[in-house]
Amino acid sequence: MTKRNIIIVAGIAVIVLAFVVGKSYRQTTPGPGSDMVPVVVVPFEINNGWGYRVNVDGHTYIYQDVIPAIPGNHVFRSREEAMRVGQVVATKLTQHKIPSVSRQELIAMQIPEAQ
Amino acid sequence: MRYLKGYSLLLMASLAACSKSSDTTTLVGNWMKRSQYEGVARSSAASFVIDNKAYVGTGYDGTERLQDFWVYDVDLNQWTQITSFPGVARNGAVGMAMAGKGYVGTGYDGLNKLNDFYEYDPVAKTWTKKANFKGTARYGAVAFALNDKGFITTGYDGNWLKDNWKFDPTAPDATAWTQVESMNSGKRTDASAFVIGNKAYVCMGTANAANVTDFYSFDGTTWTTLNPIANVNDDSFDDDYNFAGSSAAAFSMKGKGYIVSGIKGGYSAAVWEYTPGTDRWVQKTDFEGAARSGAVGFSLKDRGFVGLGASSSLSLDDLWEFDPNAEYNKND
Repeated sequence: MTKRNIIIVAGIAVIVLAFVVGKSYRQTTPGPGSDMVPVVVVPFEINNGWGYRVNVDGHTYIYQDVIPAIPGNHVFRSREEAMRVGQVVATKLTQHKIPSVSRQELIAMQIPEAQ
Repeated sequence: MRYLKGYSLLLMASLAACSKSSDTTTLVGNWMKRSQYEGVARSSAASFVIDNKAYVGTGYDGTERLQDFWVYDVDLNQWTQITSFPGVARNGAVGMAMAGKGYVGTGYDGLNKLNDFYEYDPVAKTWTKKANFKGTARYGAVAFALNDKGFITTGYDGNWLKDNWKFDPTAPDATAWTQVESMNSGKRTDASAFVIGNKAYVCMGTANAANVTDFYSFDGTTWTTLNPIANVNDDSFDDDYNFAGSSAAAFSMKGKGYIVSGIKGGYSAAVWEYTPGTDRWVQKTDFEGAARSGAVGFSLKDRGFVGLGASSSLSLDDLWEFDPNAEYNKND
């Protein structure tokens, strides 16, 4: 491979990459004027257990460091349980519903502390 | 040139790694329309403030009465759902805080006026049922705490009310509630109350389809009649007093009281500031959010907040901070 070929190949690779990255960037970050905002559930570790944040457009709207709805200071036992409940809360937000969960919903989601 | 090739491979690898990690975050996300973002929206919620955090719960979302309760951190602008309110879902309940605990009771469940009463412990994060409110079951009352005693007055039990009841959180259930001096006159519901320097100020409200203009302060024992919020005096100070209405938000901050928005004929965005020393009201810059009824108002760390509530049948989730001395800036 000549030097020129290497430069051409590298140049094409960079252009292709820029295109691919730019496209995926556009998919996740709508431009100005868009009415769509991202809602993201982020689990975090706290007090030997787990909680979740629900971030709306990059800002933490809900910070859940205890299991909601039930009495007492309980944390989720696992990242998966925190995510399970956080996803339901995020889905309610996207469906124009109040983002609360009830004890009954926690039981249905098999969260042991709600039993 | 071998160096260049190595560099481009490294670049490709690192970009691929980046795109992979961003894929895993977007997987747990959702998209929604900003205009459809409703949050904890509701009207006629109960609220109280403990340790610089605002607790807000129950209320009405336009379809159903609610049982959920939230705590709002003003510094971080974040909500955390706490233990659900243990009584039936309701709106028009009252909330107050004393001695580090929160209290919520009375209200309306859609069929019945209510007299049950509960205490929230923010450390244990639990609710405890307390002695039922001893006055008639009602909604649209006001509540305030003075010297770690709670008071519930006014409201609607089928009639407009002006009776006044004192709650002692340290007393046994049988003697927790005692009836104390009623407001001199001015029966009303959906009134507003704020506390400045161990005195409660009660104003606004409706009775018999008319806005009440009687205005009183209460020191824990006795009511004092203040200048009415209407143009009734020969002097000119009250010539502009036109804000009598109901379902307004109220809070106090830095020794002054504030009445925000509410219903006065239609929805009003008016903001009025009360100075106890002179017993005078001054109109301030209108509320910047949508004019609304049944909003919550609270102050903490010398900052005032008004939010939630309803405008027509639409329940609102926005919260606004009010700086009484700031110049109006529509771009903030």
